[in-house]
Amino acid sequence: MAERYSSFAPGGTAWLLQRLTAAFLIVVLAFHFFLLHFVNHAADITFAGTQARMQDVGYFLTMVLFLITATFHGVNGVYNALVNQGLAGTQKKVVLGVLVVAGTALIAQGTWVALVMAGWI
Amino acid sequence: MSTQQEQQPAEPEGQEVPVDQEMKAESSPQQDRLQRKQEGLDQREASADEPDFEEETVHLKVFRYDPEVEAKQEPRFDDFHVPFTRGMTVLDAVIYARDEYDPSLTFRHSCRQAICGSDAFFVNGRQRLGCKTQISELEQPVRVEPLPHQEVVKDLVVEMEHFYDQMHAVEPYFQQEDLPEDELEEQRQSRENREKVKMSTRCIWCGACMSSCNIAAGDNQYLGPAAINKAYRFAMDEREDEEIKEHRLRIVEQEHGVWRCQTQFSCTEVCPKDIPLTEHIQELKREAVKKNLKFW
Repeated sequence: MAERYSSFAPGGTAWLLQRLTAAFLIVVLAFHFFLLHFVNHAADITFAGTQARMQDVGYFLTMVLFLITATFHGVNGVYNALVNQGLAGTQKKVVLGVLVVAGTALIAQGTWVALVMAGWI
Repeated sequence: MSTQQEQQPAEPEGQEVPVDQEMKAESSPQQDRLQRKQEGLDQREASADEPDFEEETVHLKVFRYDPEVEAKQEPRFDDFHVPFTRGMTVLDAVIYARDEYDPSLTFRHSCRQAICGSDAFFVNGRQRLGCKTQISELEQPVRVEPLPHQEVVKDLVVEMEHFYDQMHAVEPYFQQEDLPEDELEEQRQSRENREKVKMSTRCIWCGACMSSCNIAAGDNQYLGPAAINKAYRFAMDEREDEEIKEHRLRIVEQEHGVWRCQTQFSCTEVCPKDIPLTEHIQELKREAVKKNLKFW
């Protein structure tokens, strides 16, 4: 009966999160493109402007969440594409390990940069 | 149908009237099929006056391979020119080629009416049932090959063992243990539930879907569309207890179960029985997530 009460069994969680992050990313990507490519063109983006935006708590949180969801979505997508291609056994474990480490490092580095930009560390 | 006709001898067209009305009112799959059937009938009637095609021939290019015969160890295509007859199917053509030209031409076939699922071939670059594919609808030469992504045993015969293993892995049989108290009572199913599983029950195990699936081609552990559809047929059947449904979901929610489907719809495209396979797989994904999100 324990199985009945357990939530988040392995297979489905990643699939559900992939879909949820996809929905979230559509909105945040649109926001990102409009703000930093269409409204403010590449030439207009300045270091001071970036710092000013990051000091806004809402913007900071959105960007960190953007980073986490995009990393998960990308890493999980690549991993599943490889599994679809028949990746198995030790190779699969190694690939998963590398992707998890790379993803975690990306999130840690990105969050650190965001904190520095905001002037909070 | 026949009893209706007997009851209304004065109105032979009486049974067709409601069908036409429904066709205008809504567009269910059944109505679509009836409409296609009517269109086909009209077409056949229209073409009945056209000149006879008896003189024409069909150019077949048939894949040949036999590991046990030295001359056929190297795969090749053989050409056959078969006299065309109206209504000729790909299966009719290869049967003619075998009977008249080369008795060693090997392929599976049985019922010739799209029920046994034996004669799924790769015809002109697409998985089709030989007996359900009209030669007149194909471009010539007609290339007939064995199903891709399965080992070729000989000519058009492929190894189906793996496909059957996957089908059996989902326990494709009714498993309700608690029967109605009265021994003579039937295990009834509501009309709505029957309608829900109707399309999934049509599977004839031909293997066309599995052969067309990109993922199944690269991942042998993947259950494949046909097996998942079979699981759907029973998991969605209300006559089985909730515990059995959960047991079924546990089988399909393994890593190489439903999650491998990338919704490419190639299985749905080639299914000779028009089963919405991809939709069924997606529905099982949702069911599995719902089951796992239960906190109570």
